Amino acid sequence: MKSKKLISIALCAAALFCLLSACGGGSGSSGVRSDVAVGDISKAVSAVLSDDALVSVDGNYVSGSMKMDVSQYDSYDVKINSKGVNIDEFGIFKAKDASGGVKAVQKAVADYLQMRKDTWMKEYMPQEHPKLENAEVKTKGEYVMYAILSDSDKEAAFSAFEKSLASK
Amino acid sequence: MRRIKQDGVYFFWSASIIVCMLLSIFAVGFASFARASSGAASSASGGTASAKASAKTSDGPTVLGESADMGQDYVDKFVFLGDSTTYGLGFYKIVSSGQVWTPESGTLTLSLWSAATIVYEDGSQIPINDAVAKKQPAYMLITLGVNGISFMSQDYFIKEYTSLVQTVQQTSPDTKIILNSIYPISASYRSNKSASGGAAETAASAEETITNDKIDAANKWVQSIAKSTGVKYLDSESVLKDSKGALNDSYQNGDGLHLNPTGYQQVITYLRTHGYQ
Repeated sequence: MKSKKLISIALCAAALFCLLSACGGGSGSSGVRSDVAVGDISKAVSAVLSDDALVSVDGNYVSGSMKMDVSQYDSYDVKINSKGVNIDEFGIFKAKDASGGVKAVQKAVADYLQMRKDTWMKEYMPQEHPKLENAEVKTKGEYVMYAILSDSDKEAAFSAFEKSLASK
Repeated sequence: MRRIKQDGVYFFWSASIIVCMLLSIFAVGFASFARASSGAASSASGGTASAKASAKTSDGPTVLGESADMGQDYVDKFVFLGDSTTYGLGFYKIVSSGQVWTPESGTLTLSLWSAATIVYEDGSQIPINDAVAKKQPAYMLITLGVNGISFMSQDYFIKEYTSLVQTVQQTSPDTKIILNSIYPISASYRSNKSASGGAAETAASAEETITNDKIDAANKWVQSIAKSTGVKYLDSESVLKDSKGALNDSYQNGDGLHLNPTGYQQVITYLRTHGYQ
């Protein structure tokens, strides 16, 4: 009888653990989801922007032009203006893990933004310069997003980013 | 009887818990698989499909030598793809604006060729490869790289440029492709920038990283790409240089980087007298 009780308690504990794991929906302890595809977040962000000419760049561009090591990230999407008429741009990166990985992405993004500022050619589209100067980076769980956008687009973009990652 | 009933309840609950556990494990496993799949798809979207061109390549030397004047009809068969140094061809009406393929902004960086859209002859803005597929141009003169040399490594430059050429070859195998040399900049280019930038100009600013030494090196890369992909190279920079190897001041529009109508006319004359062979 005693052994039955012990087995029952062990089974209940195991079942509770499994249920909690399954029902977590990919949320971390901070209440941010970690199971959302970067492409889906990027789509949600694009949908709220005023410019519909943003297109994804390929891995060669991210590694070659942005000097970012794509092998360090779980996944990513960087969108720029295909017509070259403005400098609108945003990028979303998912780190490989929540601790050191996120810090590595944050540093890489910060380095990239600094490089952009250092190499800005003043004679090209000076009216666009404030977007770069006021570029922002936000982190939610394992995801890092940067935005080189107008203030209104930036606010809408980060809102969509956060909404995409909010726990259900 | 009571013991049998207790055993029955015990086994019922034990079985129920085991079933729940199995379902939970299945759910976790399924979620992980779905996540991995979507991640892989997302990563794949960031990758580049390297074109393995099987287009016709030409015999004969890579660098186009002097020929008889091919005439205006020859020039009229060209599409001119490039950056702001190509945009001027249409802007100054040296050729028809419909022949000039640049983005709406008028400039194009080599590293962005696959993401950029160009203004097509009907006014639509479409990716370069779509324009090539639609037009199937008889000849294409590509002038790219002056923006890229400020930050692109040799490997990256060659990889991107080769990818562009191979993509055009694959999409339009009969197009005769000529890679044009990057035009030199004038000796006054840097001093102009220093004067306008003042003390606020950073030492690492991009304009200081475009130099004639870099252009000369990049033109060797362009020539090597022409050779490896079986297309031609037009050494038009040779008619634009002064005795010191910089852009002749009589061919520049004032900023030291872009040509004026006289400069463009020199390039077109060079193109006509160094015909595709």
